[in-house]
Amino acid sequence: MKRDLGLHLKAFNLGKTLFSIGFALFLGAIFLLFLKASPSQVYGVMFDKAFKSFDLVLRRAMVLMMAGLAVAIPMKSGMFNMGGEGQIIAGGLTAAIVGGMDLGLPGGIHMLFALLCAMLVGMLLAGFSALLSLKRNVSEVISTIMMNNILAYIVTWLVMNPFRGSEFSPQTKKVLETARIKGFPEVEFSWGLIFAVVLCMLTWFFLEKTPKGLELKAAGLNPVASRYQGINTARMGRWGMLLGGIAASLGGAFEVLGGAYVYTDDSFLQYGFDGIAIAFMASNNPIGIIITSIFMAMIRIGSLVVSRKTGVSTSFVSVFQGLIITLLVVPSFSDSIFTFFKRIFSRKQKMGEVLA
Amino acid sequence: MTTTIIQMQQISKCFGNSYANDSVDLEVFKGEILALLGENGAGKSTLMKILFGLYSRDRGNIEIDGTRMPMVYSPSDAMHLGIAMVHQHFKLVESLPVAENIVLGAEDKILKVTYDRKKVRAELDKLYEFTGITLPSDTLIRDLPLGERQRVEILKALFRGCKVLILDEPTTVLTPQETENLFELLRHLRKQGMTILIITHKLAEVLALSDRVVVMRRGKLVKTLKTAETNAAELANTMVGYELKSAKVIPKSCLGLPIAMCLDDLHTVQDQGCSLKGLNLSLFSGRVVGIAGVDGNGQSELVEVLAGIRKPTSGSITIKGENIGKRNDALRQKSIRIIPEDRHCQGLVLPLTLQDNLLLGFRNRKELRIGPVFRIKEVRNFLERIITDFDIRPGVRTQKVQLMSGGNQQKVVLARELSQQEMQITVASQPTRGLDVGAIQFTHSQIIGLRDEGKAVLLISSDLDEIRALSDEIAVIHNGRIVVQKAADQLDRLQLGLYMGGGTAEEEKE
Amino acid sequence: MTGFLSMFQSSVRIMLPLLFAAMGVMLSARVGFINMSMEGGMLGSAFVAVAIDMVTGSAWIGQLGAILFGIVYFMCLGFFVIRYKGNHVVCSLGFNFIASGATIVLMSAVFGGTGYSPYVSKLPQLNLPLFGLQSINFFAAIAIIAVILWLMKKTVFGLQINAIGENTAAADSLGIPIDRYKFFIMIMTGVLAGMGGSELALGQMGFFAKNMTSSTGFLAYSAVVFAGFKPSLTILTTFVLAFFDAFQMRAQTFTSIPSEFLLTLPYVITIIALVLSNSKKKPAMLGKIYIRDQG
Repeated sequence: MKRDLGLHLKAFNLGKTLFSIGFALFLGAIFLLFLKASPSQVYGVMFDKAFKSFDLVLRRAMVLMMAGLAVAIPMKSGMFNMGGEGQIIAGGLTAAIVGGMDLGLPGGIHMLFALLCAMLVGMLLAGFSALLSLKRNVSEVISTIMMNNILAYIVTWLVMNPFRGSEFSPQTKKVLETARIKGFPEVEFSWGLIFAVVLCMLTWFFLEKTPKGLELKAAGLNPVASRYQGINTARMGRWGMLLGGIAASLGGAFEVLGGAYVYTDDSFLQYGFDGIAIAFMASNNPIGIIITSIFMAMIRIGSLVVSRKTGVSTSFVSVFQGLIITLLVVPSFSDSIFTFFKRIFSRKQKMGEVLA
Repeated sequence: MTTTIIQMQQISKCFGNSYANDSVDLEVFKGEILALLGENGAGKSTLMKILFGLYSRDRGNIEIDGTRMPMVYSPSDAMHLGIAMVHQHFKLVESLPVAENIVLGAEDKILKVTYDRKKVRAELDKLYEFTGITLPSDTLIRDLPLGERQRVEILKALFRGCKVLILDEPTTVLTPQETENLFELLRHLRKQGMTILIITHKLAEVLALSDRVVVMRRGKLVKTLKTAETNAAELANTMVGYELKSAKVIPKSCLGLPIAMCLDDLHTVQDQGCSLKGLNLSLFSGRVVGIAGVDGNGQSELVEVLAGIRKPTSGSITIKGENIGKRNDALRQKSIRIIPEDRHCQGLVLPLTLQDNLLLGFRNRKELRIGPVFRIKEVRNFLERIITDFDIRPGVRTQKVQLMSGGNQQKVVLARELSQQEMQITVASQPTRGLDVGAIQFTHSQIIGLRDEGKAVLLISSDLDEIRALSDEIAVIHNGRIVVQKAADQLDRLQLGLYMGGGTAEEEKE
Repeated sequence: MTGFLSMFQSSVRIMLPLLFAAMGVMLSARVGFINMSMEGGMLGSAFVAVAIDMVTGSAWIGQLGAILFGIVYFMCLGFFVIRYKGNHVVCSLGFNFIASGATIVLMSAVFGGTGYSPYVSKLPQLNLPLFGLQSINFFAAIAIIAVILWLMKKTVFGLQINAIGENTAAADSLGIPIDRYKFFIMIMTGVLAGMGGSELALGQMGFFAKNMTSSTGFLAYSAVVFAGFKPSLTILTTFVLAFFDAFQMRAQTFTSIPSEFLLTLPYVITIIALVLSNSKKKPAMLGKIYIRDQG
């Protein structure tokens, strides 16, 4: 039992996040060496681009934050939501459609309405998987993954046919002014970023400072003890999934209403899966998710130029995403690595007194 | 002519700070039925698991049939030497038929690579004839009653050609008729030369079945007796022993008091453990009712029913006249607070902080919330007060509970449950298990405090001293029913021992 | 009539890789392992198969390489899941990501292109009566399936494997070497993944394309669930799924239903299958992590 960790607990929480970022970079470097590429060159190019286009990074982070929440919240309640991919594009398309319709609504209201519709769609999708899980014992992992594939096709058809907005590219109509999220001058990101950050903070607040949040956490961590306290663990799992679906669809909506102003097919590839890695790296801590999604966005944006300048394909991101997910999820494994590094770095620090 | 088939010398085993076995010497003769008698925590199960290789001993020698055993060995080694163990919780594969379960793991006795179903059944038929036990080879285990399943376990052992059969509390899940069948079987096996070791807390079994009985208490072997030369009273006496009395409550009468909670004819479904078979119990405000009994006689099931986790198939629970049914969960949550048996699995959410764990019990209190949000300052003050009152260390609210010591973890549970103002009934299930002396004293004083405040306390414990020290009335649970509920000063250790062992009032008079 | 026959033949072709994958999932499930990583295993095997074929010029050696890769892949996964008691679903998915990303990245290094590899020599093709044009793996499949069925139903080993999946504690108490058997199943699963990937790449396509397995692994999982994890029934369910896939491809030519909707058919069927299947029919220890109760 590690009795010497009584101090610096808050730092411990974010410490693990920072560690996992460092570890990810470390693993990535190893993989690049394996490819006979130079990590310093690749990372150099990547982070150079990331910092030069930091506004783009922030815009990407906006969606990724929501994708992270989409995984983290259900996991807190004990469910696995792997449906981020599908929920994001469903939300994005919905926002594009509602945002492109002339409803006679003034600015702001139109935007809220479009967001609301996107939220509804995300809720229904995640709710469907939750229902299957609770009533028919269908693993929500599988049902959400299947839905990803199904939605990908359906959304593509919808964009190419009834909601086609452009002759030359697979897009919807442009989103009307009244539905757009206000942007900032000179930069790529919009108020959507603020919304996303605020939502992360609200999620953290919900989980840490409200009774329902406490119930949700308890239900996910120890269903038996929770039941002894009168918590309905099944209901908590359901709510977790619904909130996760809402988060994902909002992510798509933010990008459509506050970034591209149009829904383009295949423009959200891998975002959902990025969300999984983001949530894991942050140990499902919503504040940590802000950090890891910015990190992930930097990697993604930075890697856009990597293939051009170094010849390494951008998909190497997927590789170390997979490594992160696998390594971080095995508790004993990641714990032993983590404590190994901690011991190296804190040998000088005298550990606190033994607890009573 | 008695030959020794098993010799265990100076066996010691520690779990944490306490001795599960303390320098135990055991000698088993070939062809006898030897009973190991004792209460919970006496160490009899541990001793046998050491013999069978499931646990490794810290000190001592073991000789099985002349072979010296190394300090660490596995059940396969024990099985090779002819020892087999039938556990309390059967290790059978429910979806497979009887025949497959019997030969599983030992198929090499009759088969090579291919699995020849016909051959297996033919061999088993021979075994059935030889042992006198016949089982339906093709029936799936899940379709068999528990009594039959046990016979499958026994046949598993016989198939492997065991010479020594260890049975761990074999009659827990059996009906009286099945118990009688089992005894017949065991006597039959003894006639054929089998040595049988039976772990039990039931005096009737010891007297009915065994040749010799070994009584254990608190890890030590207290006495070895020839069954023919002893009686229930002496056994009960030896089993519970005379202990120093610690802080004691002067029991108050419950006559004429209004009933705070009444449990009426509760029945539950029989699954893994011991089901409730018509349990009746009354609790009174300002009084402690202690339920004495050996673990596995329905205590856990009772607590689960009171917690609302297990639905009784029949019977009722009434609090001051109001029936707590499925629709009355809110009333239950308010009125009944439970200190569960297993603080890690049932009481605390280990990865969460001290604050969160405490707050779990107070999350719905109006003064701690504004609408759907906690009031930080009020919560802080409220929890700090509780932490100080219960002297929880370290009192850091952001401390993760899993890093705290067992005693302090229990304090967290106590603090949470006992500070509930609207609670009328406290159920404390094995509240001092695994705690040190200081924590035990603290817990006891809390329970006495509750009693003085006018709450009704239900204390469930396998520690007889604890029950006797704190209760106004004592009830004994045996096989899913309350067999007696009387004022504490009307039941002495001996009588309690008898009741706990399944004896009745008549035997008292011997 | 000829239309129906040709659809049958397409179904069999589509079924082959799916069948290998499904058998792998089934074997894994029998010891309690939720195997969602056939996807990654097959993808990686396909890659290795094509790469080795390109270098050596021999499809046979390519197939062998694929099998070896599959074994290594699943031994690594087994390391995390069996040794370190990791969550089955998350680890399998993590490995899928690794395989998916790695194959795309390595594509440019090994093949030069970024979407498709160059064409390589395929495995011998046979024109069979009734079954039409199939690769030689058709017979390999029959042989392997026969061996697996024999192993699971008729041998002592099969009995013990099933016991592990139903009640690991019981099997452990009887002296059955749990971990050793689980790793052995991993090896068998790896072989199947290798066969599946190689059949796809060298038996049918003749090249490697990024993400060419397109959820075959997940479809295989649902085929197994729908079959109640029974070996012989799995063959039937994979055929049904393959049939729907073949149907969907044909349907695109003769109906006006948009191709996108038809493409969703396998996944929709999967969900329906899972909803309809009786959840009690699965091995009891599926997904559960077994830790021996030590005194």
